Amino acid sequence: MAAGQKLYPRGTVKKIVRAHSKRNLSKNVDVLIFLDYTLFLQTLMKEAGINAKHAGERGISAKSVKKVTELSLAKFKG
Amino acid sequence: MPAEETAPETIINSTTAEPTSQLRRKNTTIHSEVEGTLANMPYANRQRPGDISRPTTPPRRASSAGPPSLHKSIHRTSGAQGTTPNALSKVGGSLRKHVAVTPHGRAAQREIEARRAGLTPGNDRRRSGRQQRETPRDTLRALSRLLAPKSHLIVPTPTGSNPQGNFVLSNDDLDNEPDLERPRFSLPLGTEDDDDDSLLLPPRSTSLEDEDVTMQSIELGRRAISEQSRSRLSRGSFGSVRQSDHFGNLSGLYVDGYGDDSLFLGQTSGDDEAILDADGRHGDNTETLGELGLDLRAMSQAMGQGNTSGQEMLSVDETENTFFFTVPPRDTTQDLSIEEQSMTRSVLPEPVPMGWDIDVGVLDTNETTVLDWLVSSPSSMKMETSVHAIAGQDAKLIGKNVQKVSRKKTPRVSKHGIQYPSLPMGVVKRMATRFAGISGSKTSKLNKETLDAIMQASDWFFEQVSDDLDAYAQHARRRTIDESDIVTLMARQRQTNATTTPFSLAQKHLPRELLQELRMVPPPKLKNGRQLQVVEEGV
Repeated sequence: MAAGQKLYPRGTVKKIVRAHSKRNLSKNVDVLIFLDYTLFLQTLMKEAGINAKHAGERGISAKSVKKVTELSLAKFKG
Repeated sequence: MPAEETAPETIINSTTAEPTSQLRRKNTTIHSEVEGTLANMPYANRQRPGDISRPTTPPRRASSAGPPSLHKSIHRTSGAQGTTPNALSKVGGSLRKHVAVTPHGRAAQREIEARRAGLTPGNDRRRSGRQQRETPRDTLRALSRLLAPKSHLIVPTPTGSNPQGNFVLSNDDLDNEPDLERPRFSLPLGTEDDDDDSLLLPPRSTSLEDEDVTMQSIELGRRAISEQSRSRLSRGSFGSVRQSDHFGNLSGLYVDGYGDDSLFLGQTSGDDEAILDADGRHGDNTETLGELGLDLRAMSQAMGQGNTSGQEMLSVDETENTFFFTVPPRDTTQDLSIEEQSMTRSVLPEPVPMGWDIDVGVLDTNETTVLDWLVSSPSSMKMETSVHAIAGQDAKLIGKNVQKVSRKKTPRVSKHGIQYPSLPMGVVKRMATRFAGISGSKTSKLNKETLDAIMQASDWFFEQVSDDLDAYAQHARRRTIDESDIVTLMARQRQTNATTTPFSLAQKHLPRELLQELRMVPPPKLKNGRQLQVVEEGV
């Protein structure tokens, strides 16, 4: 939410997707992919927070993140 | 006095047919007011309870006045009771009883009353709370209240220590009992292990130390299950290299063992103790290999497949090490590892040296001594060639391991053999912290492990998304991934629907600069994409 936010590394996202799919990316797809990633991360953190609260932890621990990872990924399966 | 007491009871009996509320009112008034005025009783029956207090007739008149009152009460009762002559006679009898003035008569009367009370169990309960308070249960309860704070739980002493004189003779038997129980405590653990081992090893396994064996049994089972469930996912996903790069801090040496740890993780969803144990045991195994297991290995190579007690340990190590070997090449650069695998498989007849050279690669200090030992040991020429091959691979593996240990952020390789980085940790951390703060947890600090887990999840996410986009583009017979693909993907992920467009989502979530970039191009392009989709389907 900070104003002076650094942009995300566009090249990195493009590289990752290109390596996995072995296809070229059109010009601005990476923005939308990053948007999708943002939504995923939001879901992941929300679920992890819920899980942590259920487990009675104070912050979000790695355990709760690992537990909800699979569920969140399943939500974002196209 | 007993004669006087009976009077209200008789009245109550005669008026039972009245409505209960009225009856209760009468009861209370009778009990409160009419203690001494016996004469009123029949009139109280006849009249309203308010009139009871007026003493008008002497007590003698009560006997003669009884029957008419009875008739009245019968008139008031329901017709069924009134018509039956038996009920009439009974009630009349009870009323006539209190005429008996002789002591025997009184005694008989009391007896009858007592019997009646005994026959109707709720009778005395309703009459007063006095008798209820005196029940033995209450006394017991009071006793318990007294004793409760002082009493202590009796802890049963162990069976051996019974100092009573009676058991002195049978003390030998009591001494025998704990001897029997001790194995009973230890045996179930042992038998569990034996059950696990019995699948793999002969029952002689009690002589072996259990750590290798249990680890092996656990490992095998878990691996099989995870392979079954996650076989459809690609190599970077859950089953194969779960947490592969992120557990380096547990034990720096064991870069290669992480495949196993990832399997543990995949199964039990992150019980770290198991992983730690596993790592510790890996370490133990390598030590034994370096010090002690090597000659066993040489023996086995010389003798083929023998059956000594050491051989069993060896077999345990074999399976582990082969397992080690199959996993790490996937992690590291693929082309190299594939070549190596093919080399080793072509050269070496058994899987034993394969596992072995991995371990030597890890403990590179032992390498030369091992090689010397192997060369000097009585063995065939074939073995020497294998040793040479091993030496060649060791060099490569050592180099790789050193590389991996030295810098942990090695680029991973996708299934297409292309290296890819992961997102920079700072970006992920910033976003994750933001979302964690949004989702309501007060402490928005994320520790390192959590961040590692998030990084792993985001790596998997990118892999999954890329695969999906790849599939969409392939379906559209395009060589590039288009905006339409990601739009389709987001629609299928239920992120966008009729009300939320990708653009609105971008407006909500992306920083302004990116939004501008997106705004400059995509809105026409989105339309284009949709039209293109239709056209392509038509074509």
